[in-house]
Amino acid sequence: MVPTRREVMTIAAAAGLSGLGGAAKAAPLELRVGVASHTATLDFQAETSNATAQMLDCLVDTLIEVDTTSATPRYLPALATAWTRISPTVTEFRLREGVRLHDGNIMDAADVAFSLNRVFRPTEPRYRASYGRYFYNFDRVEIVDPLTVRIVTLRPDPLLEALLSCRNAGITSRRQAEAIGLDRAAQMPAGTGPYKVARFTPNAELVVERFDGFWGKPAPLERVRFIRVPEMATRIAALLNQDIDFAVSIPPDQQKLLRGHKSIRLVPTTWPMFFIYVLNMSHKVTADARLRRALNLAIDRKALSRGLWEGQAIPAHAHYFEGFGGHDALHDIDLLPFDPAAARRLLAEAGYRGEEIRLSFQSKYYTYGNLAAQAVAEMWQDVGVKVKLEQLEAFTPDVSQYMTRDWSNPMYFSDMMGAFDPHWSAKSWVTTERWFRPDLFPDYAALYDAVRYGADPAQRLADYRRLITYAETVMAPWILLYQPSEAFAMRADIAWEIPRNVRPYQLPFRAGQIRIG
Amino acid sequence: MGVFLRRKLLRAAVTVAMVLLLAFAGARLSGSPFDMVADGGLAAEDRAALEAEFGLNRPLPVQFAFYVAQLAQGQFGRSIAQRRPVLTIYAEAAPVTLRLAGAALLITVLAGVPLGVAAAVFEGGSIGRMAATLAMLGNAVPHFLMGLLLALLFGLVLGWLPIIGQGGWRNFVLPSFTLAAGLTAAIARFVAAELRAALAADFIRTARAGGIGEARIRFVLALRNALLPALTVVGLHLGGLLAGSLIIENVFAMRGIGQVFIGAVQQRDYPVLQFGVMALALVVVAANMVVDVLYAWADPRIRRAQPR
Repeated sequence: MVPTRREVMTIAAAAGLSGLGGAAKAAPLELRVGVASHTATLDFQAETSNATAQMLDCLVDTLIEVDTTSATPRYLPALATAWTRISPTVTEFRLREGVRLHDGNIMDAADVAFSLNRVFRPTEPRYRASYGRYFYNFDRVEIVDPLTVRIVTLRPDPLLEALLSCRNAGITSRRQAEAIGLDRAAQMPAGTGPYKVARFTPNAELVVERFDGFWGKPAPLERVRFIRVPEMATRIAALLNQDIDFAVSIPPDQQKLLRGHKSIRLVPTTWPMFFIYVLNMSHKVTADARLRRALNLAIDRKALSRGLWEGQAIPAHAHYFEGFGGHDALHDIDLLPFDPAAARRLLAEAGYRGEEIRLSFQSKYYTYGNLAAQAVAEMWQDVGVKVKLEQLEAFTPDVSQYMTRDWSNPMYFSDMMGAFDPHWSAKSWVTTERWFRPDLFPDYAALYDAVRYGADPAQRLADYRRLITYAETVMAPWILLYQPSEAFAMRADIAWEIPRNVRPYQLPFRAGQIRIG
Repeated sequence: MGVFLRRKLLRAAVTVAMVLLLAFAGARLSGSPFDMVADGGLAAEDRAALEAEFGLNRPLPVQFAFYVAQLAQGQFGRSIAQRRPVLTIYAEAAPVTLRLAGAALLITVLAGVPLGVAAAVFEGGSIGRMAATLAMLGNAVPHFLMGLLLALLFGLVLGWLPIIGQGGWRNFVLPSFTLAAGLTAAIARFVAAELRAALAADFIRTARAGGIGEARIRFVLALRNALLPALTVVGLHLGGLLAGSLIIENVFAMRGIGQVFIGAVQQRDYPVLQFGVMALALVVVAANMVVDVLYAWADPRIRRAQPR
């Protein structure tokens, strides 16, 4: 039998081979980051993927920054030095003076309006993903003077600061885009961040270098190279061989291989992100809420964490995250116990007569996704559900045919709604494609509205508790499995910690966020 | 010879056209490129807007006719994912793949021929068995596994070579040897078989009877006869070499055509995918044609054997 790639790595590590050799180290203050996936463009507003999120923080600033070290979100001035709500739906921002863009121009209100209006009212299709995920409640940017803008929302928005601190609200050069066009600007964007693009090979390598005109504290590194190293075994070997200094996405079973190496430091994390299955509420087989609830209760999430993630994944209890301060007060909620008896009872109540339930999932998209699907199918079979596993390369456009699909719900911004809203709002595909049917549940709209637009934080939290309880127990539109866990691995002399209050996978290498040597 | 050439050219054109049609249809059978936008897909209206921007909302025959018309004008299209010309993307990546494939080809010839000679000349002895075993291993071990094993040995254990990157010649050593392994083995086995056949041929017996030395018989007379068919095999495997680079570049994180191609498959970037398949088909067809023509030139029996 031919050994798998993992086995090859395991054999090598067990034999103690991997600490012996070593090629040349990188030049001082250059960081070579091995990433699992890369990006096709660097358009701050258009690119919403996790892959791009890794790199954008180096290049782009927003009007407001979130403190990446505080336990709960704290918003700080960035490209705006101050902001004031002058009416419930209008906020005025005073822009920082003399901020230089990477194309040499000085940032002004026209750049802010150009950058944000294209995602507030997208006429270009490429910006619709950002709009639907973050900015559907934003109406427009009005220019008051070269250093003052007003941002108008459709309804008063308690998430204004959170949303405007997302990288997709980054500010880019209007003049550059007008001079060379959106497509070329997306390859070499002119932001205001501490690093600027030196070289970009789409889907393969991005080299950024320190931007001497940066308005804040100078970047601590002279150069950062984001190199796509898709094979995990190669990523680990390249790190041990000192071909790279920093590697992302090391799952628990691979972390064991690296723990024994004194030259390597591991920074593990359990993300504020759920691995989930969406249940199609419009499909006749999965239309009954009791059946959907039964499918949830039949799953032993702790066993999944133990079996797949060496116990490092956090089993879901409801749509809140452990490790995110804004959800700390919700930790008493456990709506997802492993209860096969209750699952059987609910199946009987729903009149389930052995209809085949297709568990459809993408073959390689999520770490251990195929193993999780097999385990979940077994658990469903244990309570009498007839299951067919359907492994797909990708889902076809006509999603109405599916009963389930795998998905993730990462926390895109630091708020109690930071994962819920971008994925389950009226603008999300689950709603527009009618998988999620809030229209069938009259109480839902008021609950959602109270949390999404409520002004009092304490009341919002209480309402969020009610919302996720209602969604889980009455609607059951999803199956939340767990918060996955992985690690960053790096040279032992690199001091770097996981940033807080930003979306998973973002890699901050700004002043105070990384130190080498 | 003129008829022969025209016939070959016509066949080549038909082959490339069929490959283009298959690539066009196959890419679209896998779904829309906009299924890959965002981790959960796009709302229907957003997808429709993006498809309209790239003309993917038109009927398939219209899309194909438009694409062919563009090709005829030398327009190879614009990447859907990267939003820049397809030709630019391939032009940036080609040098890496050409260096990689070129180095692998050189290794193949320099290693495959001596290995084959050793296997045939020392057949039954330890050298012959070792050469045959090496050839079999090269054929049997998959590229990705061979790559990882070489990376572990020469990168981690011995520390001689870098595992990823493409900055200098040292970066090309491991990927080139990995890529060359399969073809080297095939060449070695082919040379060995041809050499054995040549050594048993009548003209060798006559040469021996004429008192020509054994070394000259083996390494000049017999080998010369065995090498021409072996070079044909090299030509025929050129496509395999380029196809193998898809995997090799992924394993060693190199920014060549393989990475472009795999990225295009993952992102369903139709224009990039179509051009890649067409270009690969062109290379293979051209290599085969060159081999055919050389053969026909060298051996009049082949020219005459072509049906009229």
